[in-house]
Amino acid sequence: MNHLEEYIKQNKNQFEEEPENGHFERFLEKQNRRHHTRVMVRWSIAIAASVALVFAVGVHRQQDVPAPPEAVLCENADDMKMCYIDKMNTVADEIRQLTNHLEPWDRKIVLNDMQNIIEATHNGLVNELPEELAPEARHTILSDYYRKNLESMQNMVEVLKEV
Amino acid sequence: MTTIQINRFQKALYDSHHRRIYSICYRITGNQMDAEEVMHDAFLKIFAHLNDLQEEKAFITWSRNIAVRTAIDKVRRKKIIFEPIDELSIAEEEPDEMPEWTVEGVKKALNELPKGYRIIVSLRLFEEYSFEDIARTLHIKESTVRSQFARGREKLAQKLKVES
Repeated sequence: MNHLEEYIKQNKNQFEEEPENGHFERFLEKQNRRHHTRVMVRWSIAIAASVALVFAVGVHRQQDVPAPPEAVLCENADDMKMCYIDKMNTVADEIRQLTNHLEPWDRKIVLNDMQNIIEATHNGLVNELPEELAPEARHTILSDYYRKNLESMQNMVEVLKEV
Repeated sequence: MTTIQINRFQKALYDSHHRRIYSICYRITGNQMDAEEVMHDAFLKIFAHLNDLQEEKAFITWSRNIAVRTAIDKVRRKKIIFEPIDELSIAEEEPDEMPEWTVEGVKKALNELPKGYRIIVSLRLFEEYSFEDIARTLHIKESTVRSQFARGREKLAQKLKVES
């Protein structure tokens, strides 16, 4: 072993570098973006499957979480979305309260997840559905999508109550 | 484990190992911005495949290899050029006493090496890869690794001599 190798071996810990401040927060953002993309990809696959299902057999899926009563009556997609968003905001308040006692990092994770779901409900899917889709099919898919998002938030509440 | 317990476990792993992983990435990529990006990608892979790890004590080596491969993939996009070794000078004899280097001086000199040398020297001296492992990782011949390493180490020593 020459001097250089010996020197590096002796001082190995000192050669460690610290990344720039905020690296962990940037990591969390990246992790959330990946998660969000995966959710959207899963939804794209689900859309394709739902479209095929609606066109082929017109099967009505059993719903796990009942839709807010106002949403059921909404014929317009935007109105239906707002019904779900209202309901989600109520659940979001509950999540915020339940996370008050968590450590800041854990709280941030939960609130980020929650925010992702709300944002996905606001911006996701509507513009991605094929234009030629029949209004009833469109309505079914969107209502399923919003309902699942609401269900995810309600699951978060259940998990937080257990913690 | 609940989601929160998993997140807490991941945070603890990140806190304990980020400096080590970042340093590997920095030595290979040669700049902070790429190093941080690669470190993040490496941690995403580590967390995604943590269940594949059979032995807990193998974590250090396993995570190191993920970081190395991720960093190599990143720099490979910009093509790694291995300098031709046409005039391999005879290495100067080493003094008996260890020269008075500084860690910062070695870091700086290493970072100034051409990319091909820097990667091979880093993998060999810091990550303690065998020549065979380096050859496999970089998809080059072992003889090339050996000659590039000898030349890279010599260049590094010359730079350090000038610095000191």
